[in-house]
Amino acid sequence: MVRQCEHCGERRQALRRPKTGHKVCRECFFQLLEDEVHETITQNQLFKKGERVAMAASGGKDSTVLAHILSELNTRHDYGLDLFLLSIDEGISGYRDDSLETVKRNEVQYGIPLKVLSYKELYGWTMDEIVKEIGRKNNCTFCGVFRRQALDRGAALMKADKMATGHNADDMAETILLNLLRGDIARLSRCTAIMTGEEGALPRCKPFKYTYEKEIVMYAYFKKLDYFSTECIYSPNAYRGYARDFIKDLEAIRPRAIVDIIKSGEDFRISSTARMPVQGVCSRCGYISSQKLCKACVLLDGLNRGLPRLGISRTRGIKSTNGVADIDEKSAVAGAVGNGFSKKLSLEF
Amino acid sequence: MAACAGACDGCSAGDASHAIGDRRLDIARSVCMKCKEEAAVALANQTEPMCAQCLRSSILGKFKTVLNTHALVSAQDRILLGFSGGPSSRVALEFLAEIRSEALASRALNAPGFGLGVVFIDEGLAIGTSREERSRAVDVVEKIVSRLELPLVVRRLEEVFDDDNQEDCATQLKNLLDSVKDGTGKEDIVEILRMELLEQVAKKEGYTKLVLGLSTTRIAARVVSATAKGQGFALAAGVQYVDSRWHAPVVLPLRDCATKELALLCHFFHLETLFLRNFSTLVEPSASTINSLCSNFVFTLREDNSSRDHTIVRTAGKLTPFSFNHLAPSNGDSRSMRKRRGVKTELSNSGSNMEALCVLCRAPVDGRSQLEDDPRYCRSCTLQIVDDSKVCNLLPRHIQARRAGQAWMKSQIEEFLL
Repeated sequence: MVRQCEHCGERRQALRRPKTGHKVCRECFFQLLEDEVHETITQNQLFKKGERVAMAASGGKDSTVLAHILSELNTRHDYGLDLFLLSIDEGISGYRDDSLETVKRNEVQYGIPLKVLSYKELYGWTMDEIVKEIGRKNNCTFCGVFRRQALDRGAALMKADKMATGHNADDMAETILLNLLRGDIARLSRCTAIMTGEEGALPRCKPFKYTYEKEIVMYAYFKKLDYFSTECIYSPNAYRGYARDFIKDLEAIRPRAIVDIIKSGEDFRISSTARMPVQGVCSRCGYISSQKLCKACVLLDGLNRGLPRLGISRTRGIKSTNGVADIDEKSAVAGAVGNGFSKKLSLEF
Repeated sequence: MAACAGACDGCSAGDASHAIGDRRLDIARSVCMKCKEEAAVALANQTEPMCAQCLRSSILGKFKTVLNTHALVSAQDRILLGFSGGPSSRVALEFLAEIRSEALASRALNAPGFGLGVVFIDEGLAIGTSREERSRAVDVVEKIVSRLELPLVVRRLEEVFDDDNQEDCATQLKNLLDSVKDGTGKEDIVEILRMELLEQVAKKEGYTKLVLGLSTTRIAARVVSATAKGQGFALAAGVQYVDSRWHAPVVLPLRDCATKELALLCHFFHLETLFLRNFSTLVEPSASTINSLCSNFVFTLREDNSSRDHTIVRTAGKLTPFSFNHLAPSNGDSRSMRKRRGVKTELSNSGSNMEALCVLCRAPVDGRSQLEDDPRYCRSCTLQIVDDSKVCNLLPRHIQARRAGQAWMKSQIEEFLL
């Protein structure tokens, strides 16, 4: 006995929605998901007409589906956005070089212009070189800090007004849990915001904040979207793995729990007078920073001086711009590139 | 963490596991760091190797410090200890009895010669334990408590229904539990009923404070499970030292001690404990409840870092507490006196800013986000317990009779009041 879709009642059931458990046909699933993302975008006023939006693209499922859905909704609901893809090459062989090929294919498939920036040209180090230097325990910190800045620089170079990332509900729930486990109350209060950096030049938003990872995979699968599906080769050691495993188990018991975690995160009573960092600029590269030197500069400094734990657990030895007299060639290049960018964009950072 | 085969250089994950291995060897060979005489047998405070006696004095020290710093107990109090038979409440029982008898013996002026009683709630009907197992458990508890010469009250969970006929109570409990479809909801309603019964006992027998043996590890598990259930707003309420939402305020003197060190203490000093089954015992992980998943999660995290539960509780402790997380002022306990004794916990302002509470779990209700269905219940209870109006009608009558109240109405319109 073939059952009918619970939404349209006409077509055949093809799947059960991970988020709601509703049994629907393919077409209704696409429509429901796209409508939910549209709801999120409009309710939270994520975009304004005529904005130039950089979509962070890694070639993975989140960014591929983001590019697809955002360009679709842009046309369907007349957002009037000028979209383009922004990709960062961290220099992880066997992982990033393959996923970049996927993004280049997306450029062609969706007819959206693509810009690629690499760690090598920005900082003078690839992730492979960094891991060789510092080992596998804290490499995610380096990659994350560098990537954030790289995306901002790329977006500024391309004169973007806003950036959209593919962070999904599972990511948000993991981050909330992670901050709870690590005692980072300041981050806990900020991490649930759907849009950050509105006061600055480049706000970034997360249209997929309430979208389940499983549903993104399902969407890409049924739409036969082209994406790169391997995990970063350095991820098995990441602490986030604990949170991820827990959330997978939690989802199996109660699918609703993922949005419940996000709701909890949004509802946490955190005193607004709790020590919040004051936003300034990095004295070396001009990027936004709550300290004298931004984290990327501190980490880079550590790498170049053979102090891999500088900025991770060690704070003694962080030198301000004046103190760095005997820098080697690598950091000179990085510094020059950094300064070059900051000369063009000094007003934006 | 993946084991390091030794071949990769610069692999810091491998370094960590070597370090842990080394530490284990260290305990076996090392001497207690406190008395420096006896051989060390356990790690106190996650990192300090100590002999059994020093472990005991370390935990007792923490217990007394918490009682004094937060003025949890005064000489005028009659304390009721909720005893489950587990290691945490066993230690609480032992220490409270000891402190009390020392005080009575010394007859010092401000020594807490408080009244002390014990209550054991038999939840066997809810869990489905056999009659033999249940009576065996009660026998063990009676033996333990009588040895300490303290009054013991034993109640069955079904007595929360306050019916003279025991059979009827049992039936009502069964019907209620059968009507709750969600596994986690079932576990939570049992806990809610337990707290209701504890409050009833305290009220009836004239106790002024309720002590629960909640350890850091268990509170950390509650923090995670509350987050997973969307109870972020109310989370801060149940993680502090004091909780005055009950007729006899609930205090948690073991909040700073991990379950592990409490269990070790019971082991070394042969303090008899009881193993009681719960809904998740011998159940497959995928079919278990959110509560047990979170509890296992915290234990997994502790394997990587034995202070993780402390970090979680500390983080949760930084969330803004509620007005009922302070004790009401009592006679002979002025603010200046408390300051002199170095007491940390604030006194509450009597009656003002009383938050609207869910009539079932007493979670403070966020005025802004309310489901329309029934304003008396919080969002979490509505979704996982009372999702069907049938369930409402099967709750104990005194819970059903509770009104939403002024506090709830105020919370709905607060933002508009000028």
